[in-house]
Amino acid sequence: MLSGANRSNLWLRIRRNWQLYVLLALPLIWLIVFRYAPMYGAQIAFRQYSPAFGMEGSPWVGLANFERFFNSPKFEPVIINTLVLSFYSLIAGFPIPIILALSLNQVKARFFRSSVQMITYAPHFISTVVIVGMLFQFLHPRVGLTASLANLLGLNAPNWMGDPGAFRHIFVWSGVWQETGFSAIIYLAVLSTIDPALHEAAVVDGASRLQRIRYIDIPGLLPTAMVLLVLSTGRVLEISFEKVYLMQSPLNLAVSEVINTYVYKVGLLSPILDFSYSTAIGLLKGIVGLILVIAVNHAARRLTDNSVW
Amino acid sequence: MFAIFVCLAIIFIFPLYWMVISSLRPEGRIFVDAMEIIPSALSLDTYRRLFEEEPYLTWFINSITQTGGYALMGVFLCTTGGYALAKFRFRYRNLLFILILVSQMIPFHLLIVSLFLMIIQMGMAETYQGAIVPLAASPIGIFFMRQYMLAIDDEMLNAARVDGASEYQIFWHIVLPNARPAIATLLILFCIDYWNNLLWPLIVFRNPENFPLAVGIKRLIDQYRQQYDLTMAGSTLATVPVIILFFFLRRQIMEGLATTGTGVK
Repeated sequence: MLSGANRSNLWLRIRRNWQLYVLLALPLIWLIVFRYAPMYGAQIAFRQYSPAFGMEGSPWVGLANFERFFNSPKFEPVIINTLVLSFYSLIAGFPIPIILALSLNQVKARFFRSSVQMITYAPHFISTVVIVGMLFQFLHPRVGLTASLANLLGLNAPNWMGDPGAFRHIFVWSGVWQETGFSAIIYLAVLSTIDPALHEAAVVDGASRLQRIRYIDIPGLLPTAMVLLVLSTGRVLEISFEKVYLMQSPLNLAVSEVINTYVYKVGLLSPILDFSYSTAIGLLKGIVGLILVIAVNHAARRLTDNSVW
Repeated sequence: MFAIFVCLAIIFIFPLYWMVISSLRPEGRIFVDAMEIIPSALSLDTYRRLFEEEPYLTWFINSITQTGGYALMGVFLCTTGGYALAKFRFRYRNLLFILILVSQMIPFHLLIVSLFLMIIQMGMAETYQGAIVPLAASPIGIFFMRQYMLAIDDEMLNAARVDGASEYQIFWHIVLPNARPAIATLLILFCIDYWNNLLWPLIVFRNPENFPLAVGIKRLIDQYRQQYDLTMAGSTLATVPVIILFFFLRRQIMEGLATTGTGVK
């Protein structure tokens, strides 16, 4: 009886609110088709996919694709490169926007503030292809800007783009250059919500500028900073495929081959497209990423009492 | 303070300036003159070559069409989804919301192969639809719109209902105008996203006639033909629309980002 009444109730509600369901259905269907359905397709990681048999008909091979990756000579360098590049980016990119926001927040002159903001986030809008093109030209060993500068000083021109040792630094610091201003927007927004009365009281008590930053601004930023840190850890293994791929050359491949580029090459670029193998590696990456998020979230909660969940 | 300002301006703006002047150097001089900060000779020759020797105009038009389609479709889906999640109470709403957020955490590289196979099956390989449809409704965009919609006053919507407005009218005449800053923000973020996107179009398109700009420019600097002068010119032109869009909408973007407190990327 009850369930019957419930059901007719539900239908009544759907009939009355059909417009709501239309609003909701469109994005929902999209998410199911293009985000969740491909997850089902990820089962080919456990199969030996061949187009002739299709997704569900290809033979089941269990963990063979994963084993193949573990045993491949590429496994170690690819994992190490991914982790080093990710964490280097994360660590270098985390504090600088906070410092920028804290110092901008101290500036009273409005014009100065907004101009600095505009200047610093301009690079965010330049595409990766353009950035990498600029890097190549800047650092060209014969005729780039660095080479010309070195010549001027009577030094040997460095070949940074061809130097495997320099790849990581170039990658990370050009990224910091590009994203600092944009990331600082959020911190500035948070700082603007801090009650000015706190600062006034601190000034009356004789607190110096640095002390006010240390004891008022930074604690105010911390919750947001932690949430952003955890969220960017979730993306840590997603490190820009495009930028790495564009910066790669046979010279720096030893340090620049990361999971994303490797997946792309074995799955979609090589003459023998190995869909199963590349999906297996992608799946592995997803799992590692999830573990990292949980770990960082845990650490953030233990250390600062702030976390995403 | 002025000194700091000049330093920041040099660090952040100089590379852009340099890109522009590099693209304007006469043919063959791009490297020779690299140290000339203020160029002695300018020429539009590189741009002429860009349009004559490469299908740059086609790429540009492709980029505009695809970006426009992608951004409009994406914003529409995120707005409706965000509105429904923020303003209606229904069973499983929270579960739904979590499912949407979780789908954001699925790494794109895990989906790529299945998506690619799906696109082929649906007959969308080498088509604009194939390039934009799978990316259109971003979960983080839905989240962003929901956060913004939460701030819309319920009283206002209920008053309209009492006056006999249909849900369609309410959405169109009350919700949309009120969410304008968020819509503008999302629109420009989506535009920039697609305009600069390389990976997915690189997979969908094989035929240079269909390339958007990012893929086209990538072709100019690939290993075999490093045409830096063309790259600089192509990059300069490709950056112009983004900068224009951004400067027109920058106040609304700042407002939108600050209100919802999310860094949408």
